[in-house]
Amino acid sequence: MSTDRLRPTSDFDRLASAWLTEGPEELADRVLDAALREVHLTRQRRLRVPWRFLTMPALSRAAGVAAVAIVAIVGVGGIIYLNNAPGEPGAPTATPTPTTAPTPAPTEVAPGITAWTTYTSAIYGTTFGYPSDWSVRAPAVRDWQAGDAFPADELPYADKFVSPGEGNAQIGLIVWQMHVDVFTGTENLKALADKFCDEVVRSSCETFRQRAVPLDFSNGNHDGCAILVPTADQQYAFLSDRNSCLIREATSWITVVVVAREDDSPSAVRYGGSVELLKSIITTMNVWRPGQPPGR
Amino acid sequence: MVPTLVERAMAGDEEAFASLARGAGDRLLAIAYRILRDLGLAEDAVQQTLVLAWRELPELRDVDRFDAWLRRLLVHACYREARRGRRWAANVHALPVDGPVTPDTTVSVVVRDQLERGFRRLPPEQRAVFVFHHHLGLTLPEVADELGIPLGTVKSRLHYATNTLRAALEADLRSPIEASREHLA
Repeated sequence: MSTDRLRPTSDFDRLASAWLTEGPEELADRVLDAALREVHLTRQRRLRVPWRFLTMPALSRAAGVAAVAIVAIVGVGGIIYLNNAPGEPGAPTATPTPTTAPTPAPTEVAPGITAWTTYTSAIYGTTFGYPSDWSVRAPAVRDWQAGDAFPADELPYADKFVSPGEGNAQIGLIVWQMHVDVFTGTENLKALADKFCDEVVRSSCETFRQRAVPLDFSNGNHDGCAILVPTADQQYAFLSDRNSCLIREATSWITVVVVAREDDSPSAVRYGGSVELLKSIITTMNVWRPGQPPGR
Repeated sequence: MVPTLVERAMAGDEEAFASLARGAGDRLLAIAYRILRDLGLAEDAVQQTLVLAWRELPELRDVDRFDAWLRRLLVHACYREARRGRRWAANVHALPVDGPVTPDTTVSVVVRDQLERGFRRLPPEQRAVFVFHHHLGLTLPEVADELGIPLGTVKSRLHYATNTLRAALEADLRSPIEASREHLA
């Protein structure tokens, strides 16, 4: 770091610097003591466990496949419908409380899922369900930050889940949120998804762009916009808390949900495919409510 | 070679970490308060940061960047505290109503109040950039490096923050007559 500190060059700068000198400068002992008590009870992260799914051949970088698989529901006419097509009854109602597992309507539940476990992210505050015979692989320990990679051996910014089984029989679920400010200059969700592919996934982005389709939530229990990008090996979905796909200043959050498995993988057959599985998971999400940011 | 405090803490030495925490605590609080503008939230952010730092410390790649790494953890803790939607403390600055009041004193108190109001309108991400630049005195590339965000993002956030605060100041500097005329125009 440079030792030449910035010197105010304008009246405003001088005013701002002077104003910012005001305020507390000393941490109370009780706060430090409380932190150290908690430190004493906290285990350090030491074991580097490779994210197995990302080393699987079907998910390898060499194959040009990002391990991010986002729930996507393929529809007709280029529109992806979540829950139901317009006019159909039986839309699931995800509850806002974390104590009750949201139960999708029978028509929305992928075959092979008999019960759900509710999960609330400690980092993002999002609540959603995952199949109860799955397990939490590792919770997110921090927010997504610009410069984070996906896929990667460690995904500290994501909540990660895994299905029963071993090796290629396993399916991974990866969920996190990104603040739109990370992708400056994007005016809508589609552009953000493109930029995500360019800057984070960095492979097969032409295919990525060609397959992107909007997801219609109009008959579901969510208000928001989603872009679905089904690919041969995985499906991407970018979910916004906004009622339109336009990105507004500063306060928008994008939810990314990934199912790490090909749609036609044998391990996904019991769910009707990875896409169907993703559809069911996303119907449990209360990541947004009208007028509120995700997770509130 | 004698291991540094950071290296010892990385190896699980709680006493070493406690020394680091005592050394960094005041600086962390100062930054957190200036971002969050609420002492309670700032203290919570600092506490979270210290615990997270302990947990994640073995993952630190460059021990010489411990302070910068810690500040980045703090900023993200501040973002979380801001998102929890807790009510901001009033932190009201009383304007002088009695006694001799010089024009300079009146302006400085009012300006402080306007800056506070304007600052509270900023999202935490813009506040962090503003604080790192104007309070810590970091250049924009240094801010980008510390926060782990692109330089363009830093410039954008600083631009919006500065505009918002300038507007808050300029609105106050306009005379009531001018403001009324503009309103009626």
